[in-house]
Amino acid sequence: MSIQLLLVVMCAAIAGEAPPPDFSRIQPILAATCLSCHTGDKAKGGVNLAAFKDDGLARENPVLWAKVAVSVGDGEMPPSKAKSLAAADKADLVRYAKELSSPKLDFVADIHPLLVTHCLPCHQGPKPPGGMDLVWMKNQEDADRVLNWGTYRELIAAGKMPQKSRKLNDKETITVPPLAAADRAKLVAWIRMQEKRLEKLLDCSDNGVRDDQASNQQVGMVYSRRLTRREWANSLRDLFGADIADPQMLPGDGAGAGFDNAGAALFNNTMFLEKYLTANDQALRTLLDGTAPALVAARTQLLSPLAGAAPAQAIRTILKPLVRRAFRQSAAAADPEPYAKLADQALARGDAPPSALRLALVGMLNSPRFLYLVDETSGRKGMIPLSDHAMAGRLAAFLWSSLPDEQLLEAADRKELREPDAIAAQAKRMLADQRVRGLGEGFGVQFLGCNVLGSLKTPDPKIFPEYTEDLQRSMQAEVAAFFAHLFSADRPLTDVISSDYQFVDERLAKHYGMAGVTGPAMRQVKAAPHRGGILGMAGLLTATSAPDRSSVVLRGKYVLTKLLNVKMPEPPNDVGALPENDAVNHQTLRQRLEQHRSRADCMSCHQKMDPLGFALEHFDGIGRWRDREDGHPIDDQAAMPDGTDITGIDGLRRLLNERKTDLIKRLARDLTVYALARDLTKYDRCPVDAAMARLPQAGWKASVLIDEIVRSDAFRLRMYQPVWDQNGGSKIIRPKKPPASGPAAQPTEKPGPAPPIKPQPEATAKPAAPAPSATPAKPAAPAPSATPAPLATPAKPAAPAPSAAPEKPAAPGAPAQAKPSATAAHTASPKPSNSK
Amino acid sequence: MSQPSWLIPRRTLLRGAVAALGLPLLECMRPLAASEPASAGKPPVRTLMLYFANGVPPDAWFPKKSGSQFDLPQCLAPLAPIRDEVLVFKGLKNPGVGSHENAHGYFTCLKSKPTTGADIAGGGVSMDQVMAKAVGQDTPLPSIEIGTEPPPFGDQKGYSAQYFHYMSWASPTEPMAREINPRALFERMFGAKDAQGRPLPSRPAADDRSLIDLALGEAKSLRPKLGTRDANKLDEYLEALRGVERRVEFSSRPDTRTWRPRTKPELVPPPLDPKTYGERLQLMLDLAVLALQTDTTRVITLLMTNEASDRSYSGLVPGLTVFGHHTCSHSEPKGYAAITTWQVAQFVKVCQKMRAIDEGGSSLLDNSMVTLGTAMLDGRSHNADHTPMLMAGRAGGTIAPGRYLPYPQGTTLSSLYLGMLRRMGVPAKSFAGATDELPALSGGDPPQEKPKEKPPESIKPSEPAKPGAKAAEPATPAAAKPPVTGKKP
Repeated sequence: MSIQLLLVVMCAAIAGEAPPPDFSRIQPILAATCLSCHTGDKAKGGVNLAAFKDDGLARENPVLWAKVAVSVGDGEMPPSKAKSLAAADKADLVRYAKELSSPKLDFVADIHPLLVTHCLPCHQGPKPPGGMDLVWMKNQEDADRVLNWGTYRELIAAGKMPQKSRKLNDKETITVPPLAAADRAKLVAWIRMQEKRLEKLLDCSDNGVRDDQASNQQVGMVYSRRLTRREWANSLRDLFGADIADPQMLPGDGAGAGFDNAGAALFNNTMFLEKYLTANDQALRTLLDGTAPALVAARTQLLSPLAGAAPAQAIRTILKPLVRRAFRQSAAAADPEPYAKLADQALARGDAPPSALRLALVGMLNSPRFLYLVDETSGRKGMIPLSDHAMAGRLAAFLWSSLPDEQLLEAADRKELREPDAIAAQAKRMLADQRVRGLGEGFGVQFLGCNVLGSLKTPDPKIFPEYTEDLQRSMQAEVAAFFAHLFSADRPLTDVISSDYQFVDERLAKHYGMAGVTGPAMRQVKAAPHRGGILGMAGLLTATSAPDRSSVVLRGKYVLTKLLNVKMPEPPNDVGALPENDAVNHQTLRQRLEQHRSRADCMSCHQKMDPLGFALEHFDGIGRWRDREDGHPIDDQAAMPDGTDITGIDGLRRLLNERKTDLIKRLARDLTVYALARDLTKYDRCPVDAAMARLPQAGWKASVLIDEIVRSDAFRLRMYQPVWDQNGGSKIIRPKKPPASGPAAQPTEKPGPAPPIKPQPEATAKPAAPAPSATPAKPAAPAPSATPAPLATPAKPAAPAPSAAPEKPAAPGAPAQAKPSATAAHTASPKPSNSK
Repeated sequence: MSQPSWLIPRRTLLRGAVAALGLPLLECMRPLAASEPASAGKPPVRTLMLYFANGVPPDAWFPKKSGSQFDLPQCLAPLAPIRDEVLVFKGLKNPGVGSHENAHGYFTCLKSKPTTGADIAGGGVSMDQVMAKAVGQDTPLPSIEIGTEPPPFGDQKGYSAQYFHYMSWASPTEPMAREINPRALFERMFGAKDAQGRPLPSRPAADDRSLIDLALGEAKSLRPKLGTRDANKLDEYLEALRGVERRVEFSSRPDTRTWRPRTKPELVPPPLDPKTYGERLQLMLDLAVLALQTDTTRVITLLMTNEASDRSYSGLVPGLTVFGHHTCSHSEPKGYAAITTWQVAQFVKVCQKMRAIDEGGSSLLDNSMVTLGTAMLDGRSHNADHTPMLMAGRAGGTIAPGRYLPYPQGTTLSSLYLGMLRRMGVPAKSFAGATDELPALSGGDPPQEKPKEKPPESIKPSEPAKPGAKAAEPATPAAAKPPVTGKKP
């Protein structure tokens, strides 16, 4: 709306109205008419007109003046009850407001010079303040790629920026020319208009790709991360074709954003690495020394090349495909040589070939290329598509919690995985594979909070002697099997609320009171009464219980916050928890809870939570059905504050069914978090919105959600901020003649952490790098179609010895035309990251 | 200690092992003590810091009488046997902590940024890591971080659950992982062993070197190809790898320590996997003492539980009607005090074991600083006006224990930490805003007036942490060793 308004205003200006009045004419009008309401922090409508103390300050806020022009012009302001405005005053005020609402500020002509003089001196280099590197920002389009202008506007308007000087190091200090008041007004006004412009641009329907150059918001954009212990164990299983690793061999991975795979929270330090190293060695010993038939078969297969060739050669033959897969690389890039050399050493001193191979494999599994999901391709600074092979890695981590299979890697070799359609097709294929169990174990178990069973949540053995480690594993396996089935069989997501099937093994069937199920295998059966869907799952019901009994509050809280997606405040600090199991007190639990709720500060939340928990009271602390507790019949009557009856699990299901949009939206949001392995930013709404738009017509099919996620920009792109010397050819620019500036006028050299990185002059930043598609394997491969190729090659030298030149920087990003484009965009989300 | 533990395979996982625990780890050490020749040199000062969750009931914690004649309220009653070895502090303010979600500031004394996942930052370097960086090079492990519970999930009040269990920070953005498995901790300390305590066969040292070099080379070749943020992730790997490298090098170069522990863990069998929390904690406490006794490390932090833990103490603490610790803290005063008392009793057991270990005229306890504390003052109301703290040991004769020391408002916990840092031989000018160490540690009475303190400066999370960012600054050597007015040794 505001853009249209600006256009109207501009047209009017062009039409040649009388010159606008001076601020001295306007100030008395404001004082007499407006300031009585529009003053101070609590000004009406947030419109603080008292801030306009002079013409310069007034000019800083074109957006507000646009509002004034309309509201006063339409007669909406001043409100008739309050003040009246003389016709001449009104006309002048409107003209002035119109004038100020459309400052003719062009980025290149008006703003860029200001940035160069006053901002660039500090905002460049390897560690620019606030992560804001301005070297690359040369036109309006570049400026549109920054999303947090508001922060800078506030600092500039408050006079806190530019700072007078900045200390670069012990020797060098930059002096920054002061910003004149008129220039500050210009800059602030432009930023305000820019913010408005971005609001419009940031929309899921827009085709432009947005990214955020400012580090504070890039945080969510980190792509590289360490493997979780689940992913590590699954990867070893898939690499060697046998279960040789157990996640328990590694420390727990903690959590960020609600899932163990959140990259930002996957730290590494010496202890973690020691564990990875030990565990890799141990898993390989299991493979090479184990006696179980499955191990023998896997080993025989692995070692078969040793039968017909010299050991050194055979080991290379064995390593080659393993390296490719473990590192998620192209067949051409995979280089077994560094590891084979380890084996050579061992062979030379007389080790048996399998033992020499083990050493090589330990080396391979200790590599950061295996332990981390990384993308070695570079490109222009900003959002760039993941390379094909990194996309293969990402898909496999998302859908399988494991490594890509050969088919997926081949698709990557063919450079198909930058195409949304091809990615979606691969995802569809992968969902049908049994490895999708990794999605059930990763997403499903954590969505239900069952991952804490056995560690943080362990039922009291005295009260629940039936609860064993085996039963716990069965509970978790049920959840994993259910979610894996949901996606692999493309079931409606509403099965979460209720389904006519469930998964059990013998142990769990007994727990549920079902007959006729024998053996340890999880299988699909017709749902028992009160089971089917997640509400009847023992895993969920145990995870939301206290150690000694079921918990109405915990269950209610889970349903309310997770399934109904209602954000709840934390309980106030000084409020006691409810003594739910106070045996001395003869009141019933319900009476005690009602007493609790009678406190006003408790009631607002507990009146919403508790009924949802009461509806599940027929399930005990480990999820068994019960008709009586301590001799008293179970009372599971419950009603929501508005009177909606939700008695029993059926009542609760009815409610969830009515509000399935909320539930599935939350599920979609959480699955997106899991897929991206990071918290969502406000620009990540698109996949969730797109899925929610399609799902009702598509019968809530699970595949729709996966499809939207893997096609989304958020999934396919990553934030790329080159390490300094590869900054798309940009170089350090200090102002030519900074007033009174000393040594700061020269390029500075600041070695980063190892290896030292040297700034590279522009002239040499465009070496005769290999053409993007000139990999040795496919010299004639066409450039990826549809989208302009934004990436330089991984710059892998031809085999052998990729690590022979560790100091060599990657090829610089392709210049000018290498701008990413895509078909959808990020946008502001109403529910940012934390809605728990 | 000939091989780093990761190079030696664990033969069996031992998960679900049924054998009875009965782990006489410390007892195993005794026969060896006599056979070991006494060494020259003064025993080093060592630090063990125990943490428990959920605050204390202040009425049942702080004595009424100050000085050496202090009384023992309910929660401190277990201190009776080591009364003369303990300082009871009151009034130490830690601006880094608040309610549960801020417990990660316990050892940094600095405020941090609320985040649910991305950009986790602890505010600064924790005092144990300042110690580890300064004195950790002399021992096989620079420091040991111990927990008993896996990382929790979710978030609270805008803070990731990571903040509930990471209290040790190597840099503002690098929390130290904790070991929660006793057997794994044992192998980290002493290498993998068989059931009789004999070392398992290990890989040739040349292979260790080759493996590390290979991994270092790969990380270095990979790094310049990544974007800045991604490269930061890889830097964690590089740093971690250098830690492993350091460990390998430590075992291959000659030991330059002048003082040698009288005991070596040569025939100590590895612990079996504990079946209950009580067993796990007991093992961890024993291993901590063993690590100090054998000079495997000189700096240990041990979280008895994660913060805000609602762990059930059924079976450990008699007479409970409500079992969960956090639940008790809010609704069952008797149970709250009983659980807190039990935790003090664990501290006392550790101190008694350390007192029984002779280091040639002085005990391990005499040569150590053993603290017990919790972030909040009062878990019932989440009040964190000041933090309850106990400290046992004499730090090699530079602390005069056996007193209750109430300090006036405005005294900071960081000033105690500064005193501890200096006693460890860290030439620290300041720690988290404190420039003077806590008065009266070595004797005398606490001041009556409010001392002047500079407010600590938090490290801005928006600025990437420098690898070597230090909370403590070096000082003149004169400030390093405080005078002693204590009684013994």
